[in-house]
Order: sequence, then C-alpha cells, then structure tokens
Amino acid sequence: MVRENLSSRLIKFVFSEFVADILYWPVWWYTTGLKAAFARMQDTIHQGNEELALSIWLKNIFKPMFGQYDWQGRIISFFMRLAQIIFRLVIFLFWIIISLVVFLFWLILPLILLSQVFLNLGFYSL
Amino acid sequence: MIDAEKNEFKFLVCADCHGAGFREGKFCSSCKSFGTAMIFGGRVYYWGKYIDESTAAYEKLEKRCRDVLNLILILFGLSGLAVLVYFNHEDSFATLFSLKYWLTRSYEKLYFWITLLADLYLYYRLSQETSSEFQVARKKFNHQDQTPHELFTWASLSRMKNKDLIDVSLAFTNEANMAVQAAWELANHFGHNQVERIHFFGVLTQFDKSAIILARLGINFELFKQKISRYLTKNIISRQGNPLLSNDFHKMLLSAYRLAMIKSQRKVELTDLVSALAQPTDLDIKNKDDVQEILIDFDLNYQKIKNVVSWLVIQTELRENLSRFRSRARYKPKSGMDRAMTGMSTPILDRFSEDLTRQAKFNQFFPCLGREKEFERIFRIMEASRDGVLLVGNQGVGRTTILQGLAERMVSEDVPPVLRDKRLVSLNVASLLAGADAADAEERLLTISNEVMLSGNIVLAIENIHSLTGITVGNESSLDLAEVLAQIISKHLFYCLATTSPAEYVKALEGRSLDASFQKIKVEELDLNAAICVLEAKSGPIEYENKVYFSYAAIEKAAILSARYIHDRYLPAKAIEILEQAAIKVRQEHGESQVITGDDVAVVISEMIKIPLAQVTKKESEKLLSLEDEIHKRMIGQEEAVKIVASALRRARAELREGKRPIASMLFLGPTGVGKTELAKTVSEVYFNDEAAMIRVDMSEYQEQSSVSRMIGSGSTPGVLTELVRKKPFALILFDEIEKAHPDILNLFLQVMDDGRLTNAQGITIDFTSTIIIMTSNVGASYIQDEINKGADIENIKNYLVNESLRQTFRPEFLNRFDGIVVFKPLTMVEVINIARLMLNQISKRLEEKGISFTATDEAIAELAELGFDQRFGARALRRTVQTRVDDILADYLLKGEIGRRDKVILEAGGKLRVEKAIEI
Repeated sequence: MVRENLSSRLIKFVFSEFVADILYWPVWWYTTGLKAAFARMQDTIHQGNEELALSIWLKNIFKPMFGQYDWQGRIISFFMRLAQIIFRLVIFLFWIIISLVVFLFWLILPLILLSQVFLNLGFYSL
Repeated sequence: MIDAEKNEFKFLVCADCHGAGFREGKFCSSCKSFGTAMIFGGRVYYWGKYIDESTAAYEKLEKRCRDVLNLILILFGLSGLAVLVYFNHEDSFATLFSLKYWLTRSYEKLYFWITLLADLYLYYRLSQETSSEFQVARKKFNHQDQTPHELFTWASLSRMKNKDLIDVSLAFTNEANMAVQAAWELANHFGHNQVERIHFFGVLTQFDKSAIILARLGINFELFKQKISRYLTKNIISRQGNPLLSNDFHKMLLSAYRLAMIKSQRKVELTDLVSALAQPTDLDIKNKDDVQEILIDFDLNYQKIKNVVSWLVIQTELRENLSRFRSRARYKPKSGMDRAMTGMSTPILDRFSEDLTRQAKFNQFFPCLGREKEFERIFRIMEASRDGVLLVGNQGVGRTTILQGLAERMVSEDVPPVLRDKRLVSLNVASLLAGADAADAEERLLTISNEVMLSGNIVLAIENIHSLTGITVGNESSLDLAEVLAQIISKHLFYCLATTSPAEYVKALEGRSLDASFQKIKVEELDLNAAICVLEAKSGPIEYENKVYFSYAAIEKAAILSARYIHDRYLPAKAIEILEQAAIKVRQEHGESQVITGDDVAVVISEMIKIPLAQVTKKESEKLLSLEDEIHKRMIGQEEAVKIVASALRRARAELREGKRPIASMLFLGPTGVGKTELAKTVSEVYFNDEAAMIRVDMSEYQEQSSVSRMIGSGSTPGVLTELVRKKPFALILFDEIEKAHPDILNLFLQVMDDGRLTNAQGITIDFTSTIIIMTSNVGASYIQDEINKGADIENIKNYLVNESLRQTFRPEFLNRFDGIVVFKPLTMVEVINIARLMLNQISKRLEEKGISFTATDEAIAELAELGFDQRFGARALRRTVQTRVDDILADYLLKGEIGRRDKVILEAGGKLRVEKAIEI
C-alpha cells in the first residue's frame, strides 16, 4: 500500500495517462492487439462454418438426402450435395478472404495512416 | 478441485506493522507497506490501494479526466470526417473518389488522417480498460521453480519479479471498491483507528447486490443498522487517527480475490467480498469474531450467507446460460429436417407427437438442474449401444424435466456425437390410442416407427410407456401393443427413451419383452441440497409472477419441511408447490413486494398437514405453558400423568426432540376407567387440533403370531397399522391392552419407537416420526389399587411395576423405549364427583342446543357419584349411572313433550327432575 500526497498522485496520473500511455500504444497494437485481432479472425471463420454448415455437408456427402436409400436416390443425393458443397465452399472462401483482409488491415492500418500523414506533411510526394 | 487449492495459499502478516502496512503514520519498511500479503501459486498478492477521505473524490476525478479525454478523442475523430465533408460537398464528393485527390497534399487531409490516428488511439484506450492488468489474474500452474510457501518471508519480496507482485485492488469492480471505501468511511465516522470486517458488514445495506443478500437472509435493514451502530459504539475501542485496514480486513480482500480467481472471473465482485466475509480463515484470534456475533443475534450463520451467495450465483449462471443457449439455438433448424438434410418428412409421427427440441429451441422449458449423473448415464447407454433408455421414477421427481433438459442439450448440441443434429420427439400415447381400436393403434405405431427409422434424425421419447401395455388385437393369443413396440425397439434402428414409475414398472413391464429391450435408469428423488438448488432457480419465475420475494429461510424450509412431512409426493415438485402457495398466500394477505419468511412457508405446510410447525407465537406459547390446565378442562385428576404428557408435547413443539423418533411414546398403566383413553383423546385434540386424529388399535385382536402380517400386510394386502399411518401420518396411535399382543408384534414396535419407521410387506417405509404413540395396559391394576388403598407412594408403585410385574410380561428393551411410563391412580371420591359434574355439563351443553337449560344441584351430583362409583370399573360405571338416571329420564320427558324450549330442568337429589316451565309468549 502506498500513501501519496495529492500532487504527486496527480503528476503520476498525468504521466501515466498521457505520456506512457501514448508510448505504449504502438507496442500494444502489434502485440496484444494483434493477438486479439487474430483470435477475432478465427472466431469469424469458425462462425462462417457454423452458419453454412459446411463441415456437416462434407461429412454427409455419401449419405442420401431425405431418406432416399435406393440407388437412384443415392446418386441424385451425391450430386445434389456436391453442388451444395461447391456453392457453400465458394461463399465460405469469400468469408475467409474477408476475415483475412480485416486481419491484414489491422496490421497495415497504422502504417497507411502514418504514410498518409507524412505525405500530407510533405515529407515525400508521389 | 477447489478444496485442493485451498491448501496452497498462505497469508503473510508483517509483524512490525501488524498487517496494516503503516507504523506511526509512516510506511512500514519491513513489508514494503504491503502489511498483509497472500502467497498463492508462486505469486504475491497484496492490496495496493491507500484509502482516506480524498480517495473516493480523487478516483472520481481521475475517472472524470479519463472520460473527458475519451470524449475529446471521439469529437476530434468525428471532426476529421466533418472537415472532409465540408471541403468536398461543393462538387458532390466527386473528387473524393479520384485517386489523384488522395495522392496530393492538403491540410484538410492531413487533419483527417491525424484524426483517424486518434480514432485508433481511442480504440486502444477503450480496449485497455478491459485489459488484463485490471482483471483477476489467471491461476498459475507451474510450480517447479517457486519458493515453497512456508519458506516465504518479507525479505524474499525484493527478489520477486514485478509481474509476480499483484495488486488485487485493480481488479475490484467499481461497486466492490466503493464498498471498501464505505467501510473505511464507517470506521472513520465512529473514530475507529482500524477498519475491521464488521465495518464492511455494516455497509452492505448500501449496495444493491449486497442488500439483496441481506434481504434474502430476512434481515430487517433498520434493525440491522441499529444493531451495527450500537455494536460499533460499544464493542470497539475508538482511538483517533486515520483508520487503517486491519490485517483481518486485508485477508478478507485477498480471499475475495482468490475466490474470483478460482472461479476464473474477470473481476472481483461485491458478492465475492461477501463470500470472503463468510469464510473467515486465519483470523487474528485475539479479536473475537464481531460479524458472527451480529449474525447469531439475527439467528443466522456464515453457512446461510454462503448459501444465499450461491443462490445469486445460480441465478446469474441461469441468465448467462440462457444467452449462450440462445446463440447456439440459432443454428438448430425450426423444421423437422436436420442440418445434414438426411431426414424425411414424418406426417403421421407429427400428428401423434410433440417435437421437444423445437419447443426447447423456442425457450419453452425451464433449465434442468442437478441431473448431471442421469444425463451421463443416458449418454453412456446411447453411445455404447442402441438400447432404449427407460427412466424409472415416481411422479414429480423430474422425469419429464430430464427429457426437456435433454432436448435443451440437443438444441445447443451439448451432447455426444451420436445425438448431434437430431431431434427429440415425444410420442403422445393418449392421442395415439384415441379414437382407434387396437388394430388401428398398432398400425399407427408401425407407421410411426417406420417414419422414425427412415428419417434417421429422430430420438423417440415415450412418456408413461406402461400405458401401451394390455392393448391387444383380436383374441388373447394375438400381440400386445407393447410387444409390437418391443420388437421394433429390439431391432436397434433408432434411439428411444421412455419413462415409467416404479410401481407401474413392476406391474406392467418387469420381465416382459419390452423390459428386455430397455436399459433402466433409476431417477431418484433429488437430495435436499440439489432440491434447494432447484428451488433457488425456480424461485425467480414465482417471485416475478406474484411480485414477492423469497428469503433463504423460506426456500430452505420448503425443502426441509416438505421432505420431512409430505410423504406421498416427491422433491422438488412438492416443495415448489409449497413455495407457490406461500407466494400467493402472502400476496393475498399482505400485498405485493413482501418478503416471504420461513414461517410463512411453515404456516402453509402446517395448514396442509394440520399440525403446528410455524414458530411458536406468544398466544400459543401461553397455551403450551398452561397445557396442564388445558388438559384438565377435560380430564379430572391424574395430575402426574397429565404433567408427563404435557412436558412431552412441549418438548415436541419446541423442536427439542430427536427428529428420528416418534414425537412421544408412552405407556399408560392403571385400572380400567381411570382416564387412560380420555387422556389420549385429549392429547390428540390439543396437539393435532382434532380428536379424530387418533388411530386406535385394540391389541386383543392381535394375539396370534399370524397377526403380525395383519399389522404390516402380506403379499399385496396392505397392513392395518401401516396403511392407517401412511394415510394419516400425523396422528396419535393408541394401542389398547398392549399386554395381550403377541410378542412378535412387540418386536415390531421396538423399531417403531426407536427409528420412527416401519417397512410394510410391499417394501414401502412408513414414517412414524410425526406420531404420538400411547400404549395402555392393565398389568398390575389390582396391585396399584391395593397399594394406593394402603397409601403407598406412586413413585414406589411405579418402580415396583417396572421392575417386577411388567418384567414378567414385557422385555426390558421394550420398556426402555418409552419416553415415559405413567401410572394412573384409581379415582378418589372427590375426583368422581368432579367427573360427574363434567358429564352433567356435557348433557347441559347438548340440551342447550335444544334451547333447554339444565342444571344439577350439588346433592344430586354427589348422589350420582356415590351410586356410580365402582373401584373396579372406574369412571365407566359412573357413565352408565348417568345414562340410566339422567339421560333416560330426560329422553322420556322430551318424547312426551313435557320439556319444551326455554324450559329449565333441574336435577335434584333422589334422581328427580324438576321442570320449570317458561312463561308462554
């Protein structure tokens, strides 16, 4: 337990809140923040699979649909499922790409912003 | 797991500053001003926040500063966008979409990009507020390179890494922090120089979450505040100075953190602090436990606080589970089709069934609690084989709830793979059989099973499967419906769950082919603790409906008392019903927003079973204390016997008796007609409020050995005694002339009087703990008579009887079981006169109903007593005399019409009746 007087506490507060905090921000962005963004991407992909039931369709690819156990039913089911899986796979790929882009965006966003700031400051020109 | 972890922590209290962190107003250098620390899993936890008057204000200021900064960042961020819009609105933002625009320099764009950077910074700030530094640390598991706790001293602190020194105060929620601050302020207000646990206890009424706990405990807030402030003024020596957190208070804070850590919480909640308050570990023994003193005063203890906290935890968990369930339920299809689209439509099944998973998806069921073991067994059977599962349990133990719980788990796919992506459909047996003869029903059943089989995504549930037995087509040799089902299920083509009750199982299923295709799971009644958990969970809806609140005592009483006194139904259903009734009763009698106490629940139960259970009221305690007078209103003489009986009843009512034995068991000895039966009747009326609450068994009918089976039944015939007590568990049982009973019957009574229960021939245990057992015997009657005539002391007579006469008839262990052996004296002349007066009073009462007043002169009464008194027959002879000399003559008069309404009849000496005719109107 640390007893402090008001002024020293205030100075400390201002220092931690304004100086240290801003310095720590970029570090956080590429460590803890990056980890969180990656986890978010994983969650999104997982959710996409859940929404599209892709793994369920894949697992049941040879199972006839709607209880049609005769050979005609099996063949039709297989191609129906194949079509479904391809269709869903395409959507899922888009899904993955979008979540990947969002994650990559996290990586480069500060760099884009900084480069634009420097550009507008006249450090360089294009 | 939690128990194992308990041993792994250790408190370290600085000897120099006695755990406060300060010495004479300065830092304690020996402990880095930590004062008290907790060593747990290789880390050191301490309370790092200094508290004084300005702390709260200062924290508020800091928070305000942060908020303002965030607000500025938001506005700044938005302003960039505004600037961009302002500069580009003239050409309808056309330039905004040209690449060239973004590659050239301009001040407005510079401003815009900087504001975007500010936005990122804002995002970072907001994420930081929930960062790990402000959260409860995760448990640490690798223990190899640690200093063992025992070797840890304050000196080793300097060798610790900074990340292993954890300031717990950062992880406290705002509310918890404010409560600590409030405790400090309370101590400051009373001028105490230490903040103790009691100060924290005293401020619990100020915060919502903790106030709920106190309210649930049934504490009256005003009274609580008064007691706390009186206690604080009297019992704590005030010394001026800035209050410091005492070492016990430190320990409480650290324990709360440890509890939160064990439960993997993110923050230390106020409820954790209350839990820690209720688990005083390693307290400074030189102080007495102030909090406990107050609790005892309120008839509470730490355990009850813990129970209430766990009640709140259950309710929070229910809420959290519900939101988790909702997000999972989104993926469950609404239609009967599974997600893999393997199923097919099942039109016939749909007509005769309800889809439990569909109902569960739409939240129509209440969560199933305390049945983990049963689910585990169901899953194990289903995973291992495709056998059907038969849930055998009594009505009300929760068979249907288990099915509903299974449906909920199937919706959130919280089940083994074999049950995933399937639906649970409950076959409605009643509608299956309705309007159909046996042949139709059989056809329906076959079609349905065919549908289930083909669809492949259905788990079939059949409630009360026994109702399918005994339905046959055509002549006797043809198949029973149950046999048809048995054949289908034994093919193992789909999963099937069924329910039945033990009695029906024995009657309709056991040993049949249907039984063979199922694996049984016994669904037992919930034990008391699990039942309390269920009640706690279910109390919410009842409270909401009736706008009342249950105290913990109400919940606990409902479970305990219904378990003890209601035998024909099962937990938790019976206790839930009691709670519902109590809620309605309290709302009707006292209005809304009332707290239901344990007594309210006791009143509901005692109205139901007609014996007093609620706390003794003042009126009743007066009645109990003067029970002898009450009994003597009906009983003349026998002071000693009345006294023994009255004190037994008082013991029972004050709950001092052992719970496992009958309320009282007594042996009444004495000649006939001295009031043995009369006293039994009186007791029945006084204790059970009903003279008819008496079971009378004449033991002269049970002299043979075979009479044992008459008493407890044999085969399917119920026993006389067991059946009577099963139907009327709150009764006085009077066994007349016990000496005539067969010795084997006396052996039965040994168990009844010792354990308070008896098992009948059907294997059902009958509870005798709410009965009063009275046995009468004439053994030694003539001895009593002779000795009394000789003027012997009643105590000596009793001793002789017990040691000599009774020994010849009864075994010593039998005599030992009685709470009291009461010797009834032969009646004296004075008593007989009083009895005669009592009898005449009864006649007078009866005549009063006819509008006739009846009195008797003293001489007439004395004469009657004289005539009716017989040493051998006691008061019975007197009753006969009164009958012939008074009742008979009165009857004649009445029939002849010589007595009319408003007439006055006076009985005079010589057995004459004088009639004073009323003046005619």
